[in-house]
Amino acid sequence: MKDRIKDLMAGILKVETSVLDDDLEIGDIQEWDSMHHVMIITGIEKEFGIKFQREELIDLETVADIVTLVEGKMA
Amino acid sequence: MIEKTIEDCLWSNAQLLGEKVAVKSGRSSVTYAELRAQIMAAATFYRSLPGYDTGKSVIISAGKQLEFLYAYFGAHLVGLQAVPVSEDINPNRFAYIKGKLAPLAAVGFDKIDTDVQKVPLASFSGLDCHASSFVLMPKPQDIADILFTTGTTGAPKGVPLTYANECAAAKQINSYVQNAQDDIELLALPVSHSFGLGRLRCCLMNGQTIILLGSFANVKKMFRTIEEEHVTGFTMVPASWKYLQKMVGDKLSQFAGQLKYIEMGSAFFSEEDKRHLASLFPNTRVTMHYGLTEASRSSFMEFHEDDANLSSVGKASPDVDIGIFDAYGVKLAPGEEGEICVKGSHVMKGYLWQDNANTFFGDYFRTGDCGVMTPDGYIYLKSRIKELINVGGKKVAPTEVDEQILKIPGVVDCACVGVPDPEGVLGEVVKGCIVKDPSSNITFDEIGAALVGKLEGYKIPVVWQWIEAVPKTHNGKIQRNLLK
Repeated sequence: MKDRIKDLMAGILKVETSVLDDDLEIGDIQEWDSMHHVMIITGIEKEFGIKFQREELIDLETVADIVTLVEGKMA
Repeated sequence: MIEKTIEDCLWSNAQLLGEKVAVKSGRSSVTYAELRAQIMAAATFYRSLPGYDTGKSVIISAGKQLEFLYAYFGAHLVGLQAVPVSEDINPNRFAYIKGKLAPLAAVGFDKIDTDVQKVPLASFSGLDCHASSFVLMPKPQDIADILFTTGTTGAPKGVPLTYANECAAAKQINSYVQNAQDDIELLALPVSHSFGLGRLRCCLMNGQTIILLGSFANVKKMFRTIEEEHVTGFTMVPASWKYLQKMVGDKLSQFAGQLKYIEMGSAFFSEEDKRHLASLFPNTRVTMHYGLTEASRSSFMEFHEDDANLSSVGKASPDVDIGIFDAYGVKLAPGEEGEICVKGSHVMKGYLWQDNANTFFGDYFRTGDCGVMTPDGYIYLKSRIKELINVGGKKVAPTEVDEQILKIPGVVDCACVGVPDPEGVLGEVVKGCIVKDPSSNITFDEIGAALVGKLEGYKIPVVWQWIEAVPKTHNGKIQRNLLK
């Protein structure tokens, strides 16, 4: 699951998956700006058939946060 | 002392407010006294570079590091013209700028392949501030910065701004926004553009503390910073607000009692959005400007005060004169539609490397935008004459994108246009309309991937369409309006 999420994110950000360390924060790399963050959120929602709530989105800060949230929603 | 440049103000502030924090970026911060010392050290460093001479230019990667500030102001203190550009500038644009300027050095561009003397941004970190330094306080009439705007043909236009221009603009803005010396501002906008860089100048001139944040993307970090740093001033473009709305709804309003001012600008913001924002911040001075790189913030409005004219772009800024002119340069009466033209000491003197016969009507700079002025001075924008795409406040010339797409094998023809952002965040995004070679299997993803590194991310289309042919007039001019 984690690899699938990271691959999807890397594809949207057009970076190597290896760049996306668990601790990497939103905005830490130039490619991950607000426009691409929206694309990541929408992309994950479509790929996994889930819907994020605003309360969940405000708590996201790192790659690991995103993975944990998606895993939790899929469980 | 009457300060005639931002640098004069910085020097006064170092004297009067020496120990006050001027700028914070991540875990680093610098006081006004330290900032002056670092700028002087940076100036000394430039003088040691091979080929240094006053009047030369230096291209600087404009990011949120403190070293950017040292490199930027340091250049000014040894008679160099600063050319702040985006950190992710595409190689073609860099080469164009380099060709025009023959710069002394390029600061902070580790990845770009160029024969210009490259200086890492880290060179400005930890410089010896006690070494003897010799600085030249800038003269108001000299060129401080050269900014490059997006021209309609895609060729960037060189905008020279003098120290006097920048000082006048900062005074006008501070006078309107009413930010005070004890205000703490959060800046998440890019400093490679007129808006963000202008905010830096305004705050430093005013003796404020400004906190630099990479971008708006990390909302959690932004909110934490506003809370922990007791931020009282905030700036954004409409796309930032749309992004916040999408991510966290109206949650920014939890700081309504804390934020004394907000400045917005750079793109269209609907009357409905203005009214909504004003209602969330009943006691905040919520301002929005209309401006250009060539003429800073030319008009301003405040969402509460100008409640009855929210669909206008406000009135001329303090000490600025705006006139509406017809095509022959005749000033029109209120209510008549014409070109919006701006006069004031913040306005540039004329583009570099081109004939300026059509740049001004007398002392009035021609914005290229159409509008009308009401008898009480409100300006209503009717249309933009220029054919640019506005992606979240960043301007994109469609021809520049076309040019890169046409280099990709499998593409026969193409035309890019601006369309509403399907995510509802950026205002407009770039749509690529592609005519494919029938024998090619190329996909939109492959075209997009081929543009990475050739164009900045926001210029790469996010909406695509296959078309049979690009509609053109009999003169060969692309009819982009037919592709929207």
